[in-house]
Amino acid sequence: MKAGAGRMPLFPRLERRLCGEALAEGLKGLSLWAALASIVWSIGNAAFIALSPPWWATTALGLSLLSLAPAFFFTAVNESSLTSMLRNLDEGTTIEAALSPGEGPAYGLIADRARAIDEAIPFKAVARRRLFKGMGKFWLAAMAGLAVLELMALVVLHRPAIAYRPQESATGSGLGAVDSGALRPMGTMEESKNASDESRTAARKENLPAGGSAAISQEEIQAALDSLAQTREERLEMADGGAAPASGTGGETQDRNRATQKGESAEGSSGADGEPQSGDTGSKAKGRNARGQGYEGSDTGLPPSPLVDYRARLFQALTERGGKDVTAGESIDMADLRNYQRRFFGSFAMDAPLAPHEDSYSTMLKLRWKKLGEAIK
Amino acid sequence: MKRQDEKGLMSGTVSIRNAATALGAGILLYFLVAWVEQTMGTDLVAAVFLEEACKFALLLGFAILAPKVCPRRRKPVPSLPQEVEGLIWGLAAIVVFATAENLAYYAAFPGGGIFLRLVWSEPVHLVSALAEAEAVWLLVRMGRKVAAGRPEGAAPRPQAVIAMAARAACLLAVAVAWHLAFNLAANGPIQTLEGSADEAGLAWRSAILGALFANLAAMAALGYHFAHRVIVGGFLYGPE
Repeated sequence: MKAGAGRMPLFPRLERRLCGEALAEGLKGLSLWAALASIVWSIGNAAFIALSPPWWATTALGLSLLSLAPAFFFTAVNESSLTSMLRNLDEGTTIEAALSPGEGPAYGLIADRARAIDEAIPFKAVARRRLFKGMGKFWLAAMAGLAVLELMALVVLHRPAIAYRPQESATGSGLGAVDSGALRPMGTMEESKNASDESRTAARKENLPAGGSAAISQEEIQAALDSLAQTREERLEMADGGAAPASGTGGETQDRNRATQKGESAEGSSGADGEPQSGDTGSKAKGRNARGQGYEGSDTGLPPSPLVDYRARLFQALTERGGKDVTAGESIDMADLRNYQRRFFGSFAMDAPLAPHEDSYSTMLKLRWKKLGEAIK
Repeated sequence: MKRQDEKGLMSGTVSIRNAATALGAGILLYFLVAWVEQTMGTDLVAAVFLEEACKFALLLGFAILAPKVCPRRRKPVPSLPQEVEGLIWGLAAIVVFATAENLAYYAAFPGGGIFLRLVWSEPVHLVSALAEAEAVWLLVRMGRKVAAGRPEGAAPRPQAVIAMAARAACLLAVAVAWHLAFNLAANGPIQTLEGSADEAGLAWRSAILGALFANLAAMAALGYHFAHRVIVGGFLYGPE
C-alpha cells in the first residue's frame, strides 16, 4: 500500500514542517514583490515627472502594484525548496523511500522507520533559512531606481520627491472629476520652480505665467517691486477706508488731515471704491495691476489684509473725540516721548511709608538668644 | 543547481513564461466577464455566479492543461504535481483579474475610495479563488482515481469519489456564497450606512473593519489549508 493513500496521512509532522516552508517561501515572494514594486514605482514616477501624464497615473500605478502582491506570495512556492527541506529533515531519505511507489519485501520495515523519523521531526533542528537570500540584486536595483527617481525630481522639480504629484489643473484625463481627498495632488510644480520670494511675488503681481519669471527683464522686475511697495501702501489705505465711516464729515476730515500730514493719498471716501482719482498721489497705482490688495501668499483674488490697522482706528477716535482741530502727528519729539513715558509709568509707582513694627514674640526671642550668647562667652 | 524541464528551459525562463500566461489569462478573463455581463445585462447575483463560474473554469483549465501544454520528465514522489503548479499560476491569473477589475473601477469612479475597494474586493476574490482551487484539486484527484480504477476492470470506490465530489461542491458553494454575501453587503447595508453620520458612521467603519478582518481570517485559513492539503499533500503523496 502506498503511503498516504488512506484518509489519514502518514507523516503529519512532516506535512506541518513543509507547510511552514511553503509559507516562508511565500514571504520570500512578498520580499521579491516589494523590491520589484519599488523598482517599477521609481522608474514609473521618474517617467511621469519627465512626461507629465494626467493626475491619475500615479494612483493607477500604485493600485496595480498593491493589487498584484498576492500573486507573488502564491507563485513563490517551488519544488526545490520543499525537497531541500524534506532532505534536511530526513537525511537518510527513509521517508522518500516509504513514499515511493511499489512495495518491496522490506516495505514494512521502511514504513516503520519512516514513521519513527516523522515522530522525531518536531525536535529536529534544521539550519535557519535566510528569507532574503538571493534578493540582494533586486534590492540593489530598487535603490538604483530610487536614485533615478530622485535625480529626475531634482532636475525637473528642483526638489526631492517620491511620487509624481501633478498640478490640479492638469486633470484632462477623460476619467471624470477627481473628488476631494487624499489622492488630490497637494503640491504644485509652479511653486517649486519659483526659486526666490521676490521673483515669485513679482510674477504674481504682474500675472506672469510661472515659467515667464525667468525671462522678464531687470526693468520689469524693478517695476514689479515698485508695484509691490505701492500695493502695501494701498492695502494700508484700504484698511483705513474700511475702518472709517463710509460717508460723512468725520471720514472726509480724517482723510483731509491725513492728506495734509502725510502727503499721501486719501482714499477713505473718494477712493473707497477702489478707483484712484486723477491728481491724487494715490494715482500712482493707476495703470498698474488693480489686484494689488492682499497679503502675500494668497494666490488669486488677493483678499484685503485681515490685520486690524490700529493707526487708522486711532485717527478715527481722535477725530471723533477731539474735533477737527485735533490731529495725530506723524512723529513725536523725543523729549515729549520721555515726558509721556515718565508720566505714564510714574502712575504705577507706589510709595507708602510704613511705621516700623516690632513683634513682641520675636523681640523676646532675640533677647533670650542674646543672653544665651553672653552666658556661653 | 538550476532546474531544467523536458525542453531544457531554465526555471527562470519557465517562471517568466508562466507569469506571462497568467497575466494574459487574467486580463482575458476580465474582458470576457465584462463582455458577458454587458451583453446579458446581469444583475448583482447573476454577476457573482458568472464571475465565479469563469474563475472556476480558468482554474480548471490551468490544472488540466498544465501537464499537457508543458509536459516535463516524470519524477518519482515526492515532487510537486504539475496540476498543483497550474493551480498556483491560475491563482496568480485571478489576482491579475482582480487587479484589472480594480483598475476598471478606478477608471469609472476615480478617487481615494479605490483603496477601500481594494482591501474589500481583493480578499473576497482570493478567498473564493482559494476555495475553488481546492475544489479543482479534489476534482483532479477524483478523475485520477476513476482513471486508475479502469485498467484493472474494477470500479473505483464509490464512497471515496462521492465524498470528494461532495467536498468539492461544498467548497464551490462557499466560494459563491462568500462573494455574494460581500457583494450584497457592499450594495446594501454598507452603502446605507456610508452616507450617515455619527453613530451610523461609526457602525459603517466598524462594518468595514469587521469585514476586512473576516476576509483576512478566511484568506489565512484557506491559504494555510491550500498550502497543507494541495501543495504539501500533492508534493508528498501525488494526485492519486
